Amino acid sequence: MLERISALASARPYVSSVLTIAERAGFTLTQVAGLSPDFETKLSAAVGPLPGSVSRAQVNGERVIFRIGPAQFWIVEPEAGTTPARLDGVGAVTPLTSSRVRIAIAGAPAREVMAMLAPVDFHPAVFTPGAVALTGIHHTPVTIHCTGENAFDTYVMRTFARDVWDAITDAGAAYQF
Amino acid sequence: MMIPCPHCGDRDVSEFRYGGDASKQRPAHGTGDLKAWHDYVFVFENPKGPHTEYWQHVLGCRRWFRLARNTATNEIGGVVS
Repeated sequence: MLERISALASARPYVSSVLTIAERAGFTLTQVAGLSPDFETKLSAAVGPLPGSVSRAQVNGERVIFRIGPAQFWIVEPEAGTTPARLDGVGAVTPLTSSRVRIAIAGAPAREVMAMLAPVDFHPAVFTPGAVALTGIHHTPVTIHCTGENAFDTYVMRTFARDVWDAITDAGAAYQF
Repeated sequence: MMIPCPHCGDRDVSEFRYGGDASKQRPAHGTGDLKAWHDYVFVFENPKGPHTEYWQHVLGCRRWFRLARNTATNEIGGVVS
C-alpha cells in the first residue's frame, strides 16, 4: 500500500504561542474548466452556486469554490467529497489534490505576516473573510483564501511547498515566543 | 505600479511578466520576405512615451493581454483590445 508523504515532512516545525503556521492536509482539489456557453450553468447544477468574482470564494457546505481563471474553477472539499463524480460531462476535469499543499496561517499577527509575503492589501477592511487572491509568495504562484478574521489558507504547488514554507516561517520568525 | 488584469482587476506589477512589444505586426503566414521576418523577430524600437505591450498575469490567472503604458512615466493607459 502506498502511503502519502507530505511535501513538508522534512520541514522545520513552526512553534509560537500567538501564531499557527501548519500544513492543513486532508482535502480534495478538483479543477474544472470549460468553454461551452452553458458551462457555468452545468457546473452550478452539479456543485451549487459559483463565486461571482475572482476575489471571493463561494462556500457551499463543505465545498469551497474559487474562480481561478477565465472559465476555470477550483473546488476544494474534504477527502471524502463527491465532487469529481458529479462533474461528468460538465467540462475538463483535472484532479489537483496531489499537486498542491495547503498551509494554514492563523493568529493575531497573521495579517502582518501575510503582508510580508505577498503584494496584496491584507488590511482587515479590505481582505475580509472569504476574500481570495491569486498571487505569488517567494516568486511562486499561490492562492490565498481568507478563512477567518485572522486566518488564511495558502495553496502552494507541491514541488515548491518546502521553499514557500521556509519563506512563510521566516516571515513569522518574529512571533516565535 | 499597479496593472489592471482583465480578469483579476488592479494587481501589483510583481505578479506580472512583460511579454514584449504588442505594436508590431507579425508578417503573414507563409510569406517568404525574410527581411520582414528578421525585422519582426530581431529589430525592436525602444520608444519613450506611450507604448502598447504584452503582459501576462503569470502569478495569478495567467491571462495574456495588451496594455497601454507610458514608458517614460509608467502611467497605465488601460487594457487594449
